[in-house]
Amino acid sequence: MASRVVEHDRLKKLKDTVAVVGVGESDYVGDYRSGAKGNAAEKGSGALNSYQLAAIALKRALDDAGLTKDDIDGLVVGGPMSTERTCEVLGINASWCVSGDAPRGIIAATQAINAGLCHTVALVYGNAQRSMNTQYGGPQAMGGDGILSYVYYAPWGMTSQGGLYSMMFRRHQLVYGTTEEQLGAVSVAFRKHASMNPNAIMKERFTIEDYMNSRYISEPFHLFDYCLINDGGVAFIIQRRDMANGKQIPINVSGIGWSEMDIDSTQLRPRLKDFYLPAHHAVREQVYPMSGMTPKDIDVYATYDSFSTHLLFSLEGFGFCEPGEGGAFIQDGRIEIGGEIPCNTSGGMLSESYMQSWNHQPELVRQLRRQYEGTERQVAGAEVGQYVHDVAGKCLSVVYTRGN
Amino acid sequence: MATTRPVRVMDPFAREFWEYAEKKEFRMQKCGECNKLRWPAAAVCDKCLSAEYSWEPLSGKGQVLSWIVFHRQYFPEYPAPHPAVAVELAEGPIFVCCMPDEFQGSDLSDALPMELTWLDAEDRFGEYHLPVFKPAGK
Ligand SMILES: [Zn+2]
Repeated sequence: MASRVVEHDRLKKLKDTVAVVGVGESDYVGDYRSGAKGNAAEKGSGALNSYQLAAIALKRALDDAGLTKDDIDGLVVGGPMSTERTCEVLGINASWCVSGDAPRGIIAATQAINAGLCHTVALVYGNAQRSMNTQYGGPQAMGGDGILSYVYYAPWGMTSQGGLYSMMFRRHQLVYGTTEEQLGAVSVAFRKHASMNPNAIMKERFTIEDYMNSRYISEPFHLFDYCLINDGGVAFIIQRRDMANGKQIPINVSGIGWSEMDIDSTQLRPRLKDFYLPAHHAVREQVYPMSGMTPKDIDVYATYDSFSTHLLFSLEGFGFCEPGEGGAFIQDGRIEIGGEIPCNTSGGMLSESYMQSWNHQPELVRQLRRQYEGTERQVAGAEVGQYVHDVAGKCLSVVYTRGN
Repeated sequence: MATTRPVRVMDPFAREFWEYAEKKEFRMQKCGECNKLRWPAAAVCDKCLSAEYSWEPLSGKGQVLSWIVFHRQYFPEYPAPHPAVAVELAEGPIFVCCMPDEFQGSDLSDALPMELTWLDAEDRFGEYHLPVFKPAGK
């Protein structure tokens, strides 16, 4: 394989060239409870489709930014929505428009704005996945052969992203002696954070004992290691930094990084032999030098968390602790608000809302704005935030800093 | 009567794999240029992009790399609880599969030697033999 060259000089030129100026989301609790008699939405019962959820979030992000739709000239579209229909529904004839998850969208928007293709990008996501009955395992697993490991092992009864990550955690247990009880600290902490968040779907705190007593889904994974499945929408606005002098303190995009690790992924080799660490290391070599930060500088951290283990693996991969030490590292409140490295402070996808990388961004932005000042949810003095996206072979990261 | 199982992913290259399985021959494609063994079956070598290959017979030996036990039922054909195991083959590739019904997750441990066996199976492509692994000598 060709050796990897990080062009630090080129990358550094992009530091702080764009900023997040507005954030918004739908009412996750109401969207979740849109089934009959206020129960969780069932197939066909959702009041809003993906586009409507995205439109609600966008309106709120624009209001938050003090901008109007006419200020938007670029669009990133996430979730199951098409770019064409999204532009139509939102009434935006963008001069630049791509599909992607949140971190891919942030990196693409940074590139497009710097290339002069646009200056103010709306990143929008809507997903009525619960009321559409989207399946993440079994005979109707979404994605098809786009990620072949999701479907290839069906004849042997092996299925679901959760099953694949559980197998990865078992390997970590075998190699390093990590325990289920240690892993439980993740879902306990995220639920505690969700209990401080009025927009979180699951707010009831639980203990390690509750975690250990919860049923297995794919052993060693318990129920609480799994994220929610719910409907919702998220939007945020990224603007050229020199234009970002509006209503809110701009939150700079100070570091970006990206590395794929897909070779032999259907065999699960990157998961079971490498824990995706080489991808983490490659991204680390981009995002930290570009931003001038190290793990010690990160005040608030968020990781993609379709499963609890994403946090364990990413903290090891990005150098917050050494490989194998993650189980011990996440104990004693270290990952909670008030601890050394508060993680997924909104409750994340485990407890706030399963917005597939999108809900983490507004939370980091609000923490760095110190929008929760005066409440227990605020990470005191937050200046630097990091998002790590490590999912099925894609590893990306964004470092945000509070602008002045 | 063969046991019905969730449907196989089928394409011309997978079909060749299952044709060997019909004869209870466990083979994987070996690149004709760089010799990389690839799994699952595919049109070209991911290492050198060569379309040349032969079907290399494998020893049917391996060792446990990881496993899980499903307690939630995802497939009607696989009532919970049922284990799934990742076996690192002696030749290198990792093979994810189930075990014969008499084996449980609790029978497994790290690096436990495993050996190939065959289960009866059927899906909409017809009856076939499903290669799986079990603890060696058991
Ligand atoms: Zn080759």
